[in-house]
This record gives sequence, structure tokens and C-alpha cells, in this order.
Amino acid sequence: MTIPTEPIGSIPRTPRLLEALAVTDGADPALDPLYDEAVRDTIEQFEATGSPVITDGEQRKYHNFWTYCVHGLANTDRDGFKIPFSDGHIRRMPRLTSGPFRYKTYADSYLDLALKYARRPVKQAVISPSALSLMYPVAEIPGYSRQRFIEDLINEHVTEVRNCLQKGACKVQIDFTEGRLAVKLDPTGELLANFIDLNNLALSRFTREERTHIGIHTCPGSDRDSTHSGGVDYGELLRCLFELNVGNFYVALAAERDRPAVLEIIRQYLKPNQRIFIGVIDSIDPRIETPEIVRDRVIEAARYIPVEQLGTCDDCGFSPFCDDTTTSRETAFEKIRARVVGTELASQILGVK
Amino acid sequence: MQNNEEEHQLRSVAFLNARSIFLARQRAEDSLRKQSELLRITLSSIGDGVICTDERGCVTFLNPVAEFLTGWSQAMAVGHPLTEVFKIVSEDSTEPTDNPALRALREGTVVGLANHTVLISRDGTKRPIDDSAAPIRDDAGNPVGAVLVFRDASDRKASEVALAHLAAIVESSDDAIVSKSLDGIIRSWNSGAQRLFGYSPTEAIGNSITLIIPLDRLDEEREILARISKGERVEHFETVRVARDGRKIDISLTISPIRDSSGRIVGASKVARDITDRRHAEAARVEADQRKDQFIALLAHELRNPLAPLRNGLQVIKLAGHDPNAVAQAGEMMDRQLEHMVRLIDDLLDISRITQNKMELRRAAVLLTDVISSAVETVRPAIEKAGHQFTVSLPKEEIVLDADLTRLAQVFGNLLTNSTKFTSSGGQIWLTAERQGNEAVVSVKDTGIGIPTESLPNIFDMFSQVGRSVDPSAGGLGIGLALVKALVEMHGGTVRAESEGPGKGTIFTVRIPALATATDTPEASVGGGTPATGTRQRVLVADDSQDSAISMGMLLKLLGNDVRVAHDGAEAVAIAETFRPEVILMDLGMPELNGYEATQRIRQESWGKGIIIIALSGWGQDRDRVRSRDAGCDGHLVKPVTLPDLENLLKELKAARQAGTPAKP
Repeated sequence: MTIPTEPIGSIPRTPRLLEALAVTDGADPALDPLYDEAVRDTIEQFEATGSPVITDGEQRKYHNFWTYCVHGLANTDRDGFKIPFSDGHIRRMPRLTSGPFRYKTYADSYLDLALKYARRPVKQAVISPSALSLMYPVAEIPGYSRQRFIEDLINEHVTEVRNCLQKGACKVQIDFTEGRLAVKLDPTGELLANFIDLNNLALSRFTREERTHIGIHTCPGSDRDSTHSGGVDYGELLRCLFELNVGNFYVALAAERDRPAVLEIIRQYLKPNQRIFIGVIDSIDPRIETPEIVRDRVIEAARYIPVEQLGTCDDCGFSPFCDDTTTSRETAFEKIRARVVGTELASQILGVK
Repeated sequence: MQNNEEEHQLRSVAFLNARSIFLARQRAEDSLRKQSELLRITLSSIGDGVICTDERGCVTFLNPVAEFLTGWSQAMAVGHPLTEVFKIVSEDSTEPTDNPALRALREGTVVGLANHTVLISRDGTKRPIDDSAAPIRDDAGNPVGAVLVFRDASDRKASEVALAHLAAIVESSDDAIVSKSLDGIIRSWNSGAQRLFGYSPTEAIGNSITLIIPLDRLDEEREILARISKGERVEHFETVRVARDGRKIDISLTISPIRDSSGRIVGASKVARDITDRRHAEAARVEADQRKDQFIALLAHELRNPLAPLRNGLQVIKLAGHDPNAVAQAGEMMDRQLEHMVRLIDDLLDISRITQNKMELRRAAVLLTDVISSAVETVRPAIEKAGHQFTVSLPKEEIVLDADLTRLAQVFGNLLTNSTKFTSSGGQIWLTAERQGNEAVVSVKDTGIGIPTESLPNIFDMFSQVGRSVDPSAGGLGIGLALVKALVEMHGGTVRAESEGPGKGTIFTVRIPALATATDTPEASVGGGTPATGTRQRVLVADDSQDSAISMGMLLKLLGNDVRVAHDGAEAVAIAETFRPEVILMDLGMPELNGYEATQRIRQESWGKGIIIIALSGWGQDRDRVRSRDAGCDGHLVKPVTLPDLENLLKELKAARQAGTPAKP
């Protein structure tokens, strides 16, 4: 048993799938064979990296990690909020136009196919309630109160997570990329606190045992090799992040300019019953880390974090948005391989067996 | 964010959401609070005591029942170690017992109900309790406390004790106590039922009650169940049930409905008592009553029988006084009838003495041959009259008995009389005597009507007569054989009757302990004496019954004596003073001066000391004899007195005077 290491989620889609998605709606059943092939191939290659925990590479999240569950809902419009990235491109959220709020796709549906091919534990990523909360517009929707929306949102999220656990996901990771964005939008931290409150409200529906299989992922947003909040001070986020009532945290760290400073903050705020998976692979950087680099990053982290609470992960998914082809599948798997091997090397050095 | 307006709106949405998030959280917290409150109310509403602890075993909650039973209020108890609040000891040893909640906390398991635990409340009150405890676990399954549930078991304990007592009573009862369901299935079966019916509880329970009901009484059970179903009780219902070995048993049943806690009749309890003995006793009593009635009728008949010839005889004497032959013939007839009546009354008095345990034997060493001779002498006339062939076989060697000659002669006399009466004219009777070891064995055998086998066991019972005498005139009260048995047993012997059945004759065998040899006994005490010879004497007869006094006086005169008669005690004393009789026959129950007083006065005179005074009385019990002797009488005769009795007594008294020894009263 080495230091635990897990992926974040997405792997660039297969070229055949991307070609098909370019001309066909992602929900078209005609794509099923391609999804099947993409999932099978992804899992095969994932397992070949030696990663003890795998994902389906989010091959079936044919739009993105954020809106996969609401994409195509009749009571939404495409003119939701815009999320600007550092390279100038914009992603836009759907806007809820009427109630009630329901998911169109639950992530546990992806597990059916993944578990069919997987021989290793499969992890499933879901979007956070706080991210989806931004779908409700400023103006009150007639006949569907904000209050009711929040309650529906929590119910849908809890249903999705619990279904994933019940189907056999070894971990359910809640993507909380908007955490750092919240700090950017509201430096006072109030917005972040609201997001954390909302997520905790949802997490309170789970048992302590269930929460040991649930984690929170935070990163500055990675899309087309740029971020939406990379320039924001991580410290502000981390000071609040560990208030989330969950057992696991996946924190992007590899791309941080001052990792020791971030690690110091983590050391200060990490609670005894929490495990932190630090990002040791920069998912944006096209260069493939060597295992040694990874090893050194782990050993560096171990100086701040008790090794029994330490884990490793990639900074982010390699293709959170389906159409992001800036990173190849091969690179992604090589990076993953480096994470696995590097973590193992570090484990040996740190005496973790 | 390049578009400040966009950014502003995004923030606005987030903050607007915040209000809803706050409300949702508040609602969730309210819900949680309500759940907690509901849980608290639930625990408080439970009829059992509930105590919760934290993981250290310190009290966090007590419900009202727990407060009452421990004597601790919630406010006082919270934070205290459970062992302080919930003090328990073993009922038997009074030593502190392992606290179930702490054990549940320690072992992480549910600790089940414990028995024999006593809770000591804060004020020292002790109550038996039942308790159980379970660990309280968090979501991850880690013990974070314990919950203890307990209840006051006083009522249950009392109920158990009462039930145990009840069960012990049922189990130890001599009566069969059985319960059954309304469809007649046996539900319980006590030891009494096992003893009475022979089935073990395992064999009986679950079976139909018809197991013990005879086929011809199944309707009876249906009727009983119908009555029970209506709530009726069946008391002292006498019927018959059948035991495992097929034996039928007379029983008395009392059956009551069994009701469940809601009052619904669900079965019946039956108490069955074996009344076989009572039935036998009742049958015996009925039979005894019948025999008594028969006896009274027989007695009246037997006593009336001689009266007719006696009256006839008197008429003959009156009418044919001039014809000496007719008078003599009538006299003989009257004498026979009188003798018969006397014998009847003597037998009755003897039986009365025996049944009242007042018969005393005058034991002496007697020769068996003398006993048999005496008996044969009495019965021979009747045997000869009946034309029976009579054979007596006696042993060559004398057999000596320690016996009352008169009573033992009465035994053999009765047996011979019996054979005479129940053997057809011209039959055969054998009397055989022999020594067998230390016993004299005398058997009387006849060719008579015999005895049915079923009657043999009762042949010696009082008033038992198996069949009619072959001579209707012979009659009898049916007490002869009872007297035989009683007298033989008083002598330490046995008597047995044998018969091969009706018409096959009967053998009675008497066994009496014999003394070792004839030479062991003093000769002087053996023998029955010889009849007195008549010599002229002065005799005073004192009796307030003129007929008795005059007839006795006439009789004594006819025998050649000088006789005077007095009709009361004073007259007797006066006549005695002048007449100076040699013998006085003194009736005891006289007016003016009774026989005792008259005797005492005569004895006080110098001339009266040598007179032989013989008491005459209708009472012949020992105490009567003692009283007459104490008054000064030399002898005591019971009326009616026969001449031979009087002569024998006089002879004995004279012999005793000559020998200087007192005669027996």
C-alpha cells in the first residue's frame, strides 16, 4: 500500500468520438457504440498506467464537467453567466427559465458502462451544488422561488452522489472549481462562505461513513491551457475550504508558483479526519512530469502534511470541456503514469507500505 | 472578469442565493431539532426507564420513569457517572453487578435482559428490575455512548412467585388438574393427572381430552364444552373416565372456564377426583344398611317364632292341666323354644360385647378334647334329630390350649350347628382335630348346600347368610359365623371357609395356638366339673317380679329345698334374719332396698356372713359382676337362669368354701 493516488477525472475524448460529436448531438443514441468504445479504451489505458483508482475519463460528459447534468434541459436558456478564462475565451452557463429544477443526466448513469469494463476501483466526478446555484437568475422566476430552487438543487445533488456510491463508485468527487472563482469575485470571502454553506447543507445529508467516500476538488479552472482564477490567492480559499464537511480534498498544487506557501496554509487548516490529495501533475503544462519530479513534490508535501493524511492527484482533469483538445490522450496517460510511479517512489522513501 | 456588469450580476445571484441557503439550512436545523425533540419526547414517553450516557459512561439523559426509579432528576444526574445514578446489585448476593450499559459500551454489543438484579434508588429503595443496554454508534459505527432501558420487575416477580406457588399447588395436588382448549385439546396435565390416568404430560398434552373419555360418554364431553363456552361452571359432576390401562375410574369433575386477559373464554380447567373408594364405601354402607334391615326383620321374626309355641304351650297347660302327658309334652316344647330364644339373645349379647371390645376370655389350660366334648354335647341332639351321620376324629395325644373353654366350645358348637342347619337331612358331618406344629387344627366338614365362590370372602361378615337353611324352622340371625371368627381371633387363631360351590358341602378350618404338651399344664386346672347333686337346703328367693320369684321358688321346692320368697330388699333382709337361709338368690334391681344394699346389710349381720348369696340380674357385663361381688355376693347369674346353671354354681361355691378359696363371681 503506497500513498493513495487518484485521478481528477477527464481524459481527452477519443478522436472518433470528437469527430462524431462535432456533427451529432451528444445525447443521440447513435453515438452509443462510440461512447462504449471510448470508455472501454480509456479504462484500458487508464489501468495500463498502474493507477490504483481510475475514471471513465468523462468520455460521456459530451459537453463539460459543469453542465453535463443540465445540458439540454427544456427549462434552460443558453444565456447564462459567462465565465471568462485568462486566455480570453469564455464559457457560458445555462440559465434556468422556470421550475422545477431537475437534472437531466445523473453522473451515476456513466458508471453503468465504466463498471462494465473496469477491473480497478472507479471514481466518479460530479458538479457541486454551488456551481449549479448560479443557474438561477437575478430576477425571481415567477412561480418558482429561489428558496424552492435551492432545495431542489440539494435534493438532486444528494440523489446523484448517493446513487454513485450505491452503484459502486469507490469515491465521488465534487468539483468545486467555482470556489477559487468566488474569491476572485468577492475578495471579502462572503461569496465563498455562501458556496461552502450550500455545499455543507448538501453534505449534511450524508452519513459520516458516506462522507469518507466523498471528496472536494478545487482548482483555478482549467480549459484550453488557461484558467479562470489562476491569479487568485489560494490562501483565501484554503482557509475556508477545510470547513467543508467531507473526508477528502483534491487540491491543484503542481501549477502553483509558491507551493510551500500553499502547503503551509494546508498544514494550518487541515483537520485530523481529512485527507488531502495534492496535485502533483500540472494538467495544463504539456510537458510530461518525470516520476522523480512527482516524487519530489510528494516529499515536499510530506514536510507539511502528515503522510497518513496525504494523497496525490492531478491538478485538474485533462479535458474538463469536451472540446478541449489541447492535451492529447497519450500525454494525459503519460502524466498519470508519472503520478503513479512518482507517488510510489515517494512512498518508498517516506516508508509508506 | 472583463464585464463588470456580468460580474456584478453573478455576485448578486450568489448573494441572493445566500439568503435561500440560510433559510434552507435553518429549515434543516429546525428539522433536526424537531427530530431531536421528538426523540426526547419519545424516550420520555416510554413506559420503561431510559438512561443515555456518553462514551465515557456519564449520564446525558434520563426519562421520567428513570428519574422515578433511580430517584435522580435529569438535572442532577447529567454528567454523573452512570454507576452513581444507576446502582445495581445482585438480588442473591447483594454484591454490585456489572453495569449493562458500561458493558455495552466496553464490548460494543447489546447486553440482553439480566435477571435477579436489584436497583437501589437514591433514597435506598430497592426494586427488582429487568434491564438491557446497547451501544450508541455514530455514522462510522464508533461507540459514542450507551442507552440503558430498564423496568421495575416487582410486579412480574410477585406474579412469578404467585404463579410458582400456584404451579406447586397444582403439581402437588392429589387431584388430577387438567386444562384444555375449547376444541378439547389438552394444554396442561399435572402429576395428579398422571397418577390417576397413567399418561405422562408428554403423552397427554396436545392430545384430545377424549383420550380419557369412554366412547359411550363422548356426548357428555360435548355438553360440558358447550356449557363452558357459555361461561358456566360445572361442579361435582360424577362420571367415569378411562385410564391408560383401560381401567374405568369413578371421578367427580369440577370444570371452570379459562378466560384470557380480555375476558374471552379460551379453554377449561378441570379438577378430577377419584371417588372409587367413596363409591365402594357408599356401596358397602348401602349393603350394611340392607343387611341391618334384613337383620332387624330377621330378628323380629326369630324372636316372634318361639312366642307362638310358648303361647300355645300355656294354653295346652291351662286346658289340659289334668293330663300329665300333655302338660309334660307342652313343657318340653316350651323349654326348647325358651332355650332357642335364650341362645339368640346370648349370641346377640356376645356380638355386642365383642364389637364394643368388652368381651373378656377366661383363659385357662384346657384340653381340646374337653372343648370338643362340650360343643358336641350341646349340638348332638340337633344332629341326631336331623338324621346326620356324625363322625368325630380326635388325636391320640392330648392337645392343650390356653383358652376359654366355654367360648371355644361355643365356636365349635356354632360350626356344628351351622353344618346341621345347612345340610339336608341324612347328610354327613365330620369333625376332625389334630396337631399341626404349634397349632391345634379343627375342621368341621359337611355335605351341605355349600357356599358360592363369590360369597366365601364375606361369609364371616355380620348378618351374612348365603342361603336359606334347609330347615326353615332352624332360622338364625346370621351372626353365628361372625361370632366364630371373632372368638377364634381373640384366641390368636384363624378360621377359614372352603367350598367347591353350591351343593358341594363346606369345610371350616379353625387353627388355634396349642401349648407344647399336655404335661406342661397343671392337671388341677383342667376339666369342666360334674353336675351338682341335689340336697335339701334353705333357700331365699328375692325378686320384685312376682312371677319370676314364685316360679323359681316352685322349681326349687320341687327339687326338695325349703324355700321362702321375698319381693323387695327389705323383706329379703327381714326373712333372712328369721329364716337363716343357706342360699339367697338376690335380684339386684328391686325397689325399697335393692339387691346390693340388701346383700350388704345381710353381710353386716353375724348370721349373714356364711350365707351363699347369688346375684340374679339381667345385666351380665364384667362391671356388673364386679359390683355384685363388691356388695358381698358370692356368685352372679344372668337371667333367665337355668336350673343346671344354678346347680353348677352352687356346687362350685360349696367346693370353694370347703377349699377355703373364693369362687369366681
